[in-house]
Amino acid sequence: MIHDIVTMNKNPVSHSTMTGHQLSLLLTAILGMNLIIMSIKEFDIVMFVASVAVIIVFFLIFEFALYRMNVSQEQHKKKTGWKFLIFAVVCAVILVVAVAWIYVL
Amino acid sequence: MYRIKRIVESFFVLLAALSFCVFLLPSQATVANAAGIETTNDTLAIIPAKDGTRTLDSSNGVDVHAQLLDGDSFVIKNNEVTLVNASGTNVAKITVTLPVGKKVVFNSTTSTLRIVNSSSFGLMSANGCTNNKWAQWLVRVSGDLLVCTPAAIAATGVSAGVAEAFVAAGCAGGVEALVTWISC
Repeated sequence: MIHDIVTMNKNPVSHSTMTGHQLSLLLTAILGMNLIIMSIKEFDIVMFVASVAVIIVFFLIFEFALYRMNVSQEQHKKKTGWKFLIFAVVCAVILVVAVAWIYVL
Repeated sequence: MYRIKRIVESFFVLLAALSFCVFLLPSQATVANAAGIETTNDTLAIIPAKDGTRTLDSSNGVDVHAQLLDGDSFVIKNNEVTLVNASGTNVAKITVTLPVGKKVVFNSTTSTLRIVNSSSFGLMSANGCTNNKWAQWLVRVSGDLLVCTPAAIAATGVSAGVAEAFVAAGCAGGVEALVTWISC
């Protein structure tokens, strides 16, 4: 499975010239940057280690997602990602409401 | 054609990264607008005492910054703010007239007095916000993991690379705004 992911993500992702590994790294960097900046700003080694652990999880999730996408592409199945989008919107609403309720209201 | 596509894609990825960085900047301005103390002079009060002089400064027009001596602290009870020195002696007492639903809090880390909302729930710092770094870290991780990651994956179906980078950067900026909102 891991070998499959590593091999498959060497191919360019659909609509893009970037490979799966490059895209995973880019997205991980974008999402992980604020965590690393915060831990450096706070000068907290525990937070830094926890942030790195979370960033590794981000990377693995993106690697797996892009692998699945490449597999679907090879099988000529079209993935639209609506389920992910709906999940993200629902989570966003829950997160904002929860944070507002706990910290602001 | 391939090279042009690659250049355009690199440009958009760079743009996405820059737009994300811009989201990180305005946190100070947001914090500065959050308080409600009104002052007219730069130095609000000079408090002379036997062991030394303390000053209350409101030069930023938002908080009252207290320049205290070692061991000094504020005891806040209702609308009375008492300055107590290291030996427990009252140095000064300030009576503050507050609107309903407001109270005075003292942040010992930044040595500032501030008027805040008095409503509170368990986890927050009793002023409608938190400066707890782990609370902020948790909000960031939750936002990135539960919202930004699936949103970026969903964008892969549209146009991998450019769209994903834009969605991820925009979403991370949104999470950063959420953290700024709850910060004191």
